[in-house]
Amino acid sequence: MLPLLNQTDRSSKYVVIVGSGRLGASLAIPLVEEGYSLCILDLNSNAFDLLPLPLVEDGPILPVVGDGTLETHLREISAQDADIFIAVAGRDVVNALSAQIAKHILQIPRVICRIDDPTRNEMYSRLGLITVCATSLAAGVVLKAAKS
Amino acid sequence: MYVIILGAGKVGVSLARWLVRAEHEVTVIDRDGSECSILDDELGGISVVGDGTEPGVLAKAGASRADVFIATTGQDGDNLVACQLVKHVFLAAQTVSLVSIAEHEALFSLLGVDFIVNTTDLTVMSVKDQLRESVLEEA
Repeated sequence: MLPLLNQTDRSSKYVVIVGSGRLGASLAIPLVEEGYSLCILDLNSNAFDLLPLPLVEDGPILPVVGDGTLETHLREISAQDADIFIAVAGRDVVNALSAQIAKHILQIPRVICRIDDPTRNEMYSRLGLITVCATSLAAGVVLKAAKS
Repeated sequence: MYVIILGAGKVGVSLARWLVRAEHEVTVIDRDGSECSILDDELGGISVVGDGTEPGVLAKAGASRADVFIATTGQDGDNLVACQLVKHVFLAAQTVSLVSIAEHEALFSLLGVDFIVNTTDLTVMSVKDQLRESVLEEA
C-alpha cells in the first residue's frame, strides 16, 4: 500500500519523478531549492540511497516504492495534482509509457521525459512530450572536448 | 499482405503459422536468437533477431512496407513503443497490440493503436464462462 500524500499540506508546487537513478536523484536538491515538493518513485528501494538524506528526513522529498507505468500507483501519490512530471528511469520504454500516462490520462500540465534513442526522442518530441536525449547531450560535450 | 509480428512467443508463433499458411509475407522479430532459429526451421527464414523497440531493428524488418504490425510481447510498454514507432516513423498501415494490464487499454486507444486485445480480460472472461457453465450450475 503506497503512502497517501496529504493534499492539504501541499501549498508548494509538486513534482513527481519516476526513477531514482543518478539522473532522478540529481534533480532532487535543485528542485527543492526552487521551492518544489517532490515525490520520487522507483521499483527498488535501494535506489533511494542516492537521495540526499536530510531532505528526505525533513519532508520536501518523499521516496515511494512503486511502478511509474501504472496509473493506480501514480494516483496513490496524487500524481494527477502534480505541476511537473519527470520520467527519468533507465529505459526509454518505461519513460515513454509513464510520461504518456502522465500527459494523456492524468493531464499533468508539464511532462518531461528522458528518451535516449535519438529516433525515439524525435518521435516523442513530435508527439508533444518535452524530451531529453542524454546520448545527444553527452555526445555534444565529448565532441566539443575532443575538438578544443 | 506483409505482416510483421513482434514476439516469437506462443501468440506470435501461432499467428505466424496462420499467416504463412494463408500465403502472406511474414517477419517475426524477437530478442531470443534460439527462439528465432526454431521458428526459421519450421517456417523458413522469417525471423529477425533483435529488440523490436529499436528503430534499427524495425528498419531491418522492413517496417516501412508493413501492412500490419502485431505486437505480441508480454510487456505493454514494449508493445506500445514498437507500435508508435511503426506508425509514426515507419508510417505502416495498421497496428495491433496485446495489452496485459487493463488500465493500459485506454491509453493505447488514445495513442492510436488500431486494434487492442486485452489478454487478461479475455482469459478471465473465458474462465468465468467455464465456471458458470460447469461448476456453478452444479452447485
